[in-house]
Amino acid sequence: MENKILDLLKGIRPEFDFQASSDFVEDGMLDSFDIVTLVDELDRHYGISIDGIDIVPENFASVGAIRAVLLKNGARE
Amino acid sequence: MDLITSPRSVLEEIEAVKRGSRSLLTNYYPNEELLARWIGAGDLSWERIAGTTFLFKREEDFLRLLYVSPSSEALGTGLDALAGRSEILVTEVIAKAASGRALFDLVGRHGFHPYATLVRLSRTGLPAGSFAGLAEGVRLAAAADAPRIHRLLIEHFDRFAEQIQSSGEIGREIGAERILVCESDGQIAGFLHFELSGLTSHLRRWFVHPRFRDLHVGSKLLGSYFFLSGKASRFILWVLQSNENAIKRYIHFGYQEDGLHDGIFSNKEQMRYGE
Repeated sequence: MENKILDLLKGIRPEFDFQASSDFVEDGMLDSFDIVTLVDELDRHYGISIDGIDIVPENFASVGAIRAVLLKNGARE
Repeated sequence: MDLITSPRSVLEEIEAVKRGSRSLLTNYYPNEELLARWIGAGDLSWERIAGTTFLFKREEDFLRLLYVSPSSEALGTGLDALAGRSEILVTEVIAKAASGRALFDLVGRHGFHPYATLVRLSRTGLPAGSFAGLAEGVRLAAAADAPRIHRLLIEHFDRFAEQIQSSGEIGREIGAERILVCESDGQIAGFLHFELSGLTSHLRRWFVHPRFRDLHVGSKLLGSYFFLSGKASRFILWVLQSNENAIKRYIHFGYQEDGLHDGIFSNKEQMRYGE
């Protein structure tokens, strides 16, 4: 799942090295519109629909945080 | 419309709308510091209509309409209820050009009329060439520049489409060293407002006074901006789609459209950008 998340991130913002960051939002690698795009991509890839309450920047600040929000919303590893 | 008196109540209201929504629509991304300022100034009201929370940010002579909606149906019902109000309401829809047409059409079908469109441009990495320091004649703005910059904004920018900051807000940006000015004969020939956020640098405004065009004021400001943004690897900005000259200049400096559009809509059909 981590590798797939990194692939999707790279697809959205190819100019950044997401593995070198511990906080994608703080480091200016993802903005609000990127997060909306990422949610769409994650929903489509994992066949889920992420709850609106979970769409907050801190849930998309790292691969670990994204994995947690995916699992919470029913995605399978 | 009820006046909002605490940031906490707004955040809780937004959470209530978001909870359980699987197709959330919003043009509001909370910034607690800004929210506290708006509330402290008595500029923010709200109303919930058919499940959508609307926030009304008071501007000089209109209300900027922000929404958090659980679905497109709920948003459409809410916009219908608001469209006939006597106040000028201005709202925006940010979406990818390719897939966002449906959202633009939705707002248009529910009593709001297109006013202007902004497009986002971006570039990766610094342009070739050296930016060893601030260009000659360019300096960071000082507190005393705030009223002059505010006046230029009022005179040369569109308040509905381009969000004119107050003199106080400009003062705060000057304090954060986010505004550059280029002076000539004691007058502001041009200024540039930017915001650096980690690896992304956002060019918020780049202005050259018409009397100082063709004197390289713009390129001096932009070169100085690139120097100050040296750690950034992504550069973004929004520009009016109709401003072809500005877009050409940005493209000259390596920017290109990245597919994101910002549609500005008003409930008053007779309002048109530039008129």
